[in-house]
Amino acid sequence: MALLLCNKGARHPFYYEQLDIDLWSIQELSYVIYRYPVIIPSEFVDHKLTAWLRDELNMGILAARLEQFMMAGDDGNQERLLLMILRESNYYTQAEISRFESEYKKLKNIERHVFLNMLGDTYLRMGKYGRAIEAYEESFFLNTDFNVEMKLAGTYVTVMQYQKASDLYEEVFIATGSDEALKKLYFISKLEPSVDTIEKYIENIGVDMLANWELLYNEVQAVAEQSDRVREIHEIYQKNRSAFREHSKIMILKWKREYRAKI
Amino acid sequence: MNRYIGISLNDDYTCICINDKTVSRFQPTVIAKDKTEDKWTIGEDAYKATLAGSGVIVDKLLSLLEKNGTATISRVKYKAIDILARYFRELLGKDSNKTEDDIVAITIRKPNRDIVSKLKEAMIKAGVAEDNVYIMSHTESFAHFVLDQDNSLFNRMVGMFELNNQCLYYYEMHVSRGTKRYVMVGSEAEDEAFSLDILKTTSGGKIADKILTTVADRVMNNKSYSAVFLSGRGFQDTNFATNFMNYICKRRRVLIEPGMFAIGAEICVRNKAEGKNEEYMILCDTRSRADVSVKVTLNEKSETLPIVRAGESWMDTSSCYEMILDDQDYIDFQVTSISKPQRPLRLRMMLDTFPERDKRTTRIRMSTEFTDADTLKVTVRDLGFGDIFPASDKEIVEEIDLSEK
Repeated sequence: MALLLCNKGARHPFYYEQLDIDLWSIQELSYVIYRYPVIIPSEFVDHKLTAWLRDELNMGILAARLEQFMMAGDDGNQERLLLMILRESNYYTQAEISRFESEYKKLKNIERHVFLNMLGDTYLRMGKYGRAIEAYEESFFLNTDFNVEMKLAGTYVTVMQYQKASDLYEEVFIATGSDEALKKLYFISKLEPSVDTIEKYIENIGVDMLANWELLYNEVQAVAEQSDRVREIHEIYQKNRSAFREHSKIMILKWKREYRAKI
Repeated sequence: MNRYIGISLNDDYTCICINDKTVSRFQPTVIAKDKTEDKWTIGEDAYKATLAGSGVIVDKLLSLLEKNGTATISRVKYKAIDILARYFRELLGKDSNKTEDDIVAITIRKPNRDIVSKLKEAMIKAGVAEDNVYIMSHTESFAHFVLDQDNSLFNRMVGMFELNNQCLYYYEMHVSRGTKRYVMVGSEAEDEAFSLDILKTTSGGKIADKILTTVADRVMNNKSYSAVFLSGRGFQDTNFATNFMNYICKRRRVLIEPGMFAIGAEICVRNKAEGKNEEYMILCDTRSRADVSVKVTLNEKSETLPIVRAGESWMDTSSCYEMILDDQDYIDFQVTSISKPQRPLRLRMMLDTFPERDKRTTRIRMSTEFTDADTLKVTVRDLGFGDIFPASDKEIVEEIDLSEK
């Protein structure tokens, strides 16, 4: 437990393209480095970043040291530069930085398809679904792994591309006979009745299994109906219809924006 | 060449001391503008111009400033700040062609943040550089004056009576020469204040003498003093106060300096300009009496972050720090009184109404500012964690009581 003293944030942020996010402080920079090492590009620490550190955060000494190492251009330089940033940020402990160092080293030595799978997981966790799809697709292309294909299909469901998701689940089912893939196909048909691939395989599903899935779907739907967002919309509808129409316009715009941001 | 100037200001009179700590002069705090041209006179000259019918007079300038008042002279409405700026310009003999650097300290009875900023603004308008203007209380200038005297005059307690029109004050200064060298200065208004006009008659003088003796007996009691000082226009002549003088002179040294506040202020700016450190920390109505700090972590080491240092002017003291909460939802303050030998007081400010977020993803901005000499206002604002965890804009405000109850 502690209070970490920090410098004032930047007046102009640093745009971190991989996350599509603006960073305002050295602590935020450290946070994204530490938390998402998979997405750090190989030339991440460059003159644009050091100029930002110097001009916006008044960290001229750190910027100069980073530039000095960049000039040296040794192998493994990127790792050293990242560690320098983490050490100067007064944000992570030395033990945490050591842990990062070993994990970052491991990342460098893993196979490309495994790396891409991890990258997809990271983007998925961050809600960057478009990028997650790209990473999973590339990983699956390099190495046929049905777990990756399942994740890819799940990501398509999240962005409401049910037909693509359905095709992938079907592929997995044909190749592996997985009940899980079949279950997902069933749920897709519930969410989007026009995508009815499940009809082809309905004979393969036992009555008990189908009843369980139905129960599960109903439970999830019941929980969703009780969510704050649904309740809020319902209350507005009950109170005033014209206010509801106005609210609907705003909500739809918001959903569209959220959907675009996902992709 | 620099001029070091001390000005004691009240509604009744102004006392000014320029470059010489042995000379001060009094003049009424009034200003007059000529009816026909843009010519301004102050003090006795202003009275003369008004009596001659050529000028329009404005008085009670400090009260006018406090009330944000205005004065209309020859159909022109002047703001109090502008009139006071004119007054200062005339008082300092400021001429736009002169380039000398004046360093000025104004001493008033009860400074507060509002009046201090207005006085500073008026003095800046009068042509003094912003960094060269200081405002202090009478209590503080009394301390500066005494500390500039020979050590033997303040090796124990020091007392002081101030007598002006309708104004009778008693001041006391205690000196501590322990590991932390400091002086504590305080003052109190006495109810028995009277008009100085009564001194014009013998019988009035006798009444004044009796009043002063009674007050001295009450406030001094049997206390032991190194010296007793007398200040104010009422003590320019002490012949009326035979009994009072006999009383206070018993086994004590008594020193009379009517312009003490202006001289104390001049001594203060001279010392500042010459880079002399205060040998004794002054604790009075314009200075903080306690150290306030917060424990923070820097590079995994626990450090003490000073927020307020005892002896600093509370009106000029404010701070703003940004911190990240690492698995804690509070700030612990440590308050250390300088004058009381007790363990530091620990006060906890809870931040549990801020949104719950992952560890180390709540950044806060803590700002502190005194509302008065005894109250430190702390404002903590939730800044979130950049765009990763947006700010909630929630703010928590609490006050730390620094009074020594």
